[in-house]
Amino acid sequence: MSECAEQCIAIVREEYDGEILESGTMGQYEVVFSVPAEQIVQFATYIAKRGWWHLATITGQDLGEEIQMLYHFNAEEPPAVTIKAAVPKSDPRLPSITPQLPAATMYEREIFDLLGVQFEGHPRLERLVLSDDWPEGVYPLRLEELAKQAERDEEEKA
Amino acid sequence: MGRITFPIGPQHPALKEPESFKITAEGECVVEVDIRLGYVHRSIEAACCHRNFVQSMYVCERICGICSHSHNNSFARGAEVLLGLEVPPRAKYIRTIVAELERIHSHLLWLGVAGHEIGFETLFMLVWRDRETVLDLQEMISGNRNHYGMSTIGGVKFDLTTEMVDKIRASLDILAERVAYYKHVATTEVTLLKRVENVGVLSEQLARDLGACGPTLRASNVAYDVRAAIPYDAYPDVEFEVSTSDLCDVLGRTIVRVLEMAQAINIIRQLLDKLPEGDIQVRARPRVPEGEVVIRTEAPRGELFYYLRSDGSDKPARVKVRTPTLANWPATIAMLEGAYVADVPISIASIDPCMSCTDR
Repeated sequence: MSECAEQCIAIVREEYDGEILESGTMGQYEVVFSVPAEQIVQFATYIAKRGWWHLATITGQDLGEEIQMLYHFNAEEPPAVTIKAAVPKSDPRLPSITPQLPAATMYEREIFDLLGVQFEGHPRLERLVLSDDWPEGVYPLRLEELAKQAERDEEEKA
Repeated sequence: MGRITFPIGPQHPALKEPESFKITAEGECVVEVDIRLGYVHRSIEAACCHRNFVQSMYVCERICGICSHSHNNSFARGAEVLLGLEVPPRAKYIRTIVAELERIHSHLLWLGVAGHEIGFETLFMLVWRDRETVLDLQEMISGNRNHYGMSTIGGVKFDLTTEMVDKIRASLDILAERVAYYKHVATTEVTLLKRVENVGVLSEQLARDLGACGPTLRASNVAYDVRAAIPYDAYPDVEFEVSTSDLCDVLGRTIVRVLEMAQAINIIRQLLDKLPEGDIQVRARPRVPEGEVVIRTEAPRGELFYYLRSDGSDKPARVKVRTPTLANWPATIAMLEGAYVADVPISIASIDPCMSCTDR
């Protein structure tokens, strides 16, 4: 772990008064914090105000039981900060950070489209990537859809 | 005054790629802009999950036809971090040289397109002629004018010979002269200035808040460049300036890109002077250990973001790509709202949009 990453974790742990489930690093320059999904707005706003002003993107991924969101922040200097928040796949909803951090608008809509996560409080949670006639309730980046695609690929090969 | 809403795209004679803009105007003023993406969505993120790491790397290279090396190189760097591979210094230098050549060719392409958008066809013709110089260099190095397939997991595929280095130097001298000329044109030519000054204005605060990146952000006076912020490849070994402008308009973006071309030439010259000897590739195992990694790259259009996760097999479990154009759309909407309808094409063009990148 690099020195700047260690300092970053210490500072955030001391200053932030909400709950941090886990902290660690990913690669050389990336600090990772896990927070409860319902506190994401509070923590993301804190991180953005604390100096990591640039929200690079939000990654969504299906981990089987839950869908994990990764909010990637960075600034002019290392380390960068990634915030992890997971929601259960049976009821994937969490607060939207768009009202506080407008840079998130397209990223949240994309995850809504491809993984079916409801971002509550998003000013305009509508389709962005998928076509208008795409069936409701089919989310192409969920594991079961990926598995179906793999099957179709195999059939085409055979 | 009554409002009218009209669509531009997805199929439109003035758009090179399909994307839908719904523009609401009051007389000549734009009051609302809505963007709908997805017309060239190719499910690349899902496709990568069905292919092994090497195949995925080449799939990702096809996300963009202009900045293909940025994608190819980012994926390779990500896989190397997961594998714990140390790339030979010569390979890092060659990667950086190709990346900077790509930046020059991308910015020249943009300058030509910008000239075309404002009806300055002479500029378009001149710039695209000069762009051939860079494309010839890329063809000499890799065999291809684009989609070079330069980086591979563990290094680069093609070495630079002494003759190539001499040829690059000679071509850089020509390019340096041309870039100096374009700098002169961009700052003095009345035809250009009249059309781009105070057009597509994006304030510093908005640029920051809306998550803009690359030349669009730097032209709003924010000195953020991944090459300086989190240096990768051979960037720690070279000296360069982060080009910025405080004009916050299309002219600012033009100036930033022209300055960046001059910086790129400077960077390549430094790299050629210091080019280390040695291997260009190390062997990589096909199975990638479990782990996740974030890779940031300064592509010609801005910060390119990759997230890779491996579950220990030979196929990536998740590949997330965020291209610079997607990050710049919210800022573009802010630029357009309140502007004149006639300024819409050049304002959209000023972020150097790539729809195929955006949709993936």
